[in-house]
Amino acid sequence: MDSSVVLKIFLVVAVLAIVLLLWLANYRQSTPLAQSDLTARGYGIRRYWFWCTLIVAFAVYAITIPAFPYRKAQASVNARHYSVIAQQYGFTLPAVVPLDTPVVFDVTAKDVNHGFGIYDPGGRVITQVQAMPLYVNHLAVTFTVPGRYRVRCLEFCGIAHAAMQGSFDVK
Amino acid sequence: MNSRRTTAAVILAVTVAGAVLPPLLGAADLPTAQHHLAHSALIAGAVFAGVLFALPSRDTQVGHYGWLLTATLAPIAAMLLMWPSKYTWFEVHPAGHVVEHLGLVGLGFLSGYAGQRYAAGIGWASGLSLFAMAFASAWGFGVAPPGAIAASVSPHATKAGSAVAGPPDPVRGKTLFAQNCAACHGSNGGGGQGPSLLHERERKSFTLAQQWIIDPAPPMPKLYPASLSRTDVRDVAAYVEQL
Amino acid sequence: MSTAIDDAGDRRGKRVMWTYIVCGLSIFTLMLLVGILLRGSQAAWFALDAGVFYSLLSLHGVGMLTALTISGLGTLWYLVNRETPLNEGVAYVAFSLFVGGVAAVIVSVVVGHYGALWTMLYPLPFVGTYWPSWATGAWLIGTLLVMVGFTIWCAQILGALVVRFGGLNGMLGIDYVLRNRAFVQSGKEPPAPEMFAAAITAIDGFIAATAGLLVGIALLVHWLDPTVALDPLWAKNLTYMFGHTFANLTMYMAVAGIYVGLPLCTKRSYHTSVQLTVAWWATLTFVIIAYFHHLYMDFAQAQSVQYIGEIASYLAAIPVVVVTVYGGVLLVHRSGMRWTLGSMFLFAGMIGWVVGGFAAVLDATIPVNVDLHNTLWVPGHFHTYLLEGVVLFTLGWVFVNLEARSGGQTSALVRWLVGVGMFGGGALFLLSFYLAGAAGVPRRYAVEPAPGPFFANIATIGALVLLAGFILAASEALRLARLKPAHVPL
Repeated sequence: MDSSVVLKIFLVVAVLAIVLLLWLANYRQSTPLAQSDLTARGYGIRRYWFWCTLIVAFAVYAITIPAFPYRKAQASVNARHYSVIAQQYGFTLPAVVPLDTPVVFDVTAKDVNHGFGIYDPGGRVITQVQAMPLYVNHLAVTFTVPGRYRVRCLEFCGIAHAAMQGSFDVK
Repeated sequence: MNSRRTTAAVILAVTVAGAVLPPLLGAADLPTAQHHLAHSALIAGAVFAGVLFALPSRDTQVGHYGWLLTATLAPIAAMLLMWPSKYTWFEVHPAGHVVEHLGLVGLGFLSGYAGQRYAAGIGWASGLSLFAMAFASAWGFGVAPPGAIAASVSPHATKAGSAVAGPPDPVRGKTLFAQNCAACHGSNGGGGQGPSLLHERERKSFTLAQQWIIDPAPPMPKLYPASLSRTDVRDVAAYVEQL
Repeated sequence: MSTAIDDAGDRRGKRVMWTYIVCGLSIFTLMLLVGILLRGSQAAWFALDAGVFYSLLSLHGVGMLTALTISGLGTLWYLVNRETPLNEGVAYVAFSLFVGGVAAVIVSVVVGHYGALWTMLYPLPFVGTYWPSWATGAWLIGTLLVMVGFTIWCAQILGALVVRFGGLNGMLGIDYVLRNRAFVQSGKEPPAPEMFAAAITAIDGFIAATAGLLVGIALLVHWLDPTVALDPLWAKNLTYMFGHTFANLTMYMAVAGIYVGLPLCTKRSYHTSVQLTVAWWATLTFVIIAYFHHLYMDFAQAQSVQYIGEIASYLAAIPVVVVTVYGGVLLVHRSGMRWTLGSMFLFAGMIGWVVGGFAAVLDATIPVNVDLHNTLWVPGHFHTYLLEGVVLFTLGWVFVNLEARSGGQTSALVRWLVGVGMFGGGALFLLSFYLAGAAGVPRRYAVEPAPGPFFANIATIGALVLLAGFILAASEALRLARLKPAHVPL
């Protein structure tokens, strides 16, 4: 999901929550109510509030399941496979990856845990997977925008972690 | 004294037999994962006996704090005793192996017994914690993953070898340099986060350069033998000497 | 306030609590300064060498969490001691293990330049090291000492609660929820809300420490004997099972401030309800497996675990936040409460908990995590949660106590200045994490790619403003602490 959309959702909800909570705390604070008066009404609302948030949580869970990345690699039977090896402090990558074609990166690491984060030509993360020694992670991607993609390490791997990057062309 | 303690004694006796007999009969030569599981079975028996021996504890006050400290420290001691792989120190002689097993049983018993003496249920908690550690060890403590990929990319595959045959290959070294060193020393060795390596041959001989890569001073990371094999070190040094 | 112990017992409990809190907040202050150094270096105000950066980052992470844990454990210890007397010797044994652990960690970093972070993922910290081997050992032993101290604390509280409330059934309010009518008719009372905080901390803390001890001992053995290799995925699971739970529990310790502190401010009472109990059960069950979200990008992990991970992350946090904050707001709403530093911090802490929790829930959603995993969004959410949540609850609790003890007041001007500093500076500091994270700037980069440094600038300014507010609050705390005690027992 696009990070900028997530950011907007977050900012809107955060501002609403802050305003609502501050308003509730300060509203007619000088004319107090007895706690029993308040709880009688408050507990009634609380039941709906409790179950509604839970229903929303389960609904979001159900909606997001189809977008999980785990089955994609198995589903892309005819995809071209590219081997990616991460090590301190660089990547062994394919030079060119085809456009509009399902590809699968078979990602592993030689020494420690690394991350294989793909940045599109606009500089945004489009997908990622961990690179772990003794294991291979299969990341399925279909590139729809041509250009030079940058790869950055997205798991702390040592002193030159920040300098660990690579790139490949999509055409 | 009563049937509960008799049961505890029987369980303990069976557990001790399970700890003593296999090493003596030469039946303890298991793969590490199964060895861990065997240990966790011994621990389960010992903990169960310990808890049963201490029951019942339904007091309105907790027991002496010494029991609490014993119950929390015994599992840690037991785990240190469970040094996996070859158990070098213990398994040289079957008697040593037996002693180690008896230690595990004793500490397992102590976890359950001392915990239960402190407060009802704590024996189960500390005993279960020890059992869980021993049991979970089977999936990774001195045990490689089941589907481990080719040894060529394994961090433990490249063993340190001092002598390397054949002439150095600076062209191969250049590729290795780009992957391992360029991040700090720059793509052409001109420096960056790390110092420039241009004209390094004037400061370090070929041998010295190799020694430095094998055992560098901080903050340069030690890439040998995990990332660079002995041959890799030689080739990288050969490339650096050309800069 | 119902109290099961005499005055001497209460004083002993207070002494333990203040020992823990003063130590915790001192470490916190030190780590705050370290954190500002890190952000300032990323903003290129000065240049820390990459090795120094990662050493300090390692220290900052483990130091902060230990500091907040110590404060939270002290508060809970005091509250449990009010219900059922505890042996304070055990509390001091655990405390000295914490202090010893932190000391070992500091030596490892300052003298040895250890720098593989506190959630080191095997084969780190053994590969690519730029520090001597003894520093790795000191680091491992230091973190193990903290875990052992934590285990002792958990076992003590667990034992006390079991005895006080009659087993797991009583201490978790199982009969109270499942056989509510019979329970209420028999005139029994469920445990007070803060007892759930203590129970969940003790149970999940004990389980998490078990995982931490296992991987800690395994790493220690590997350090002593490198032929003992570990499975990296196994180690990663255990590391996060401990690490995530240890970090997350700081909040569940600190919310005791809402249950006990806010009622003191509002002269109302916070009651245990069926929903609150059920919400705590959800946390009890799911907080220990919520860590699965740290391995979302490990496709080698069993798929079922990934599917459980998302819903477990939701259920660990959402019910208890929803119920507790609702109850907290209900306490404050039209109570005629006066705003003091104590009540301000406690209320602001609830806002931070909600906002940081929401950011966490977003990131725990797998399709979102694909883009945000290990970007600055992650420190964004946990800094919100810790700095504007846990820390504020802790400070709120401290001030509520100091205000009640001294009868002293803080002028409106100082309150405003502290508020602007800590919340205004904090907002600037935190927003920069979220904005940079959404733009794809990775976390844990000594030198960040654009637009990282731009946001690091804003963050450093925000952090300095926050520091000014914190210093003002700290000096106000010292002033209140030195006032003569008024005759208002807490």
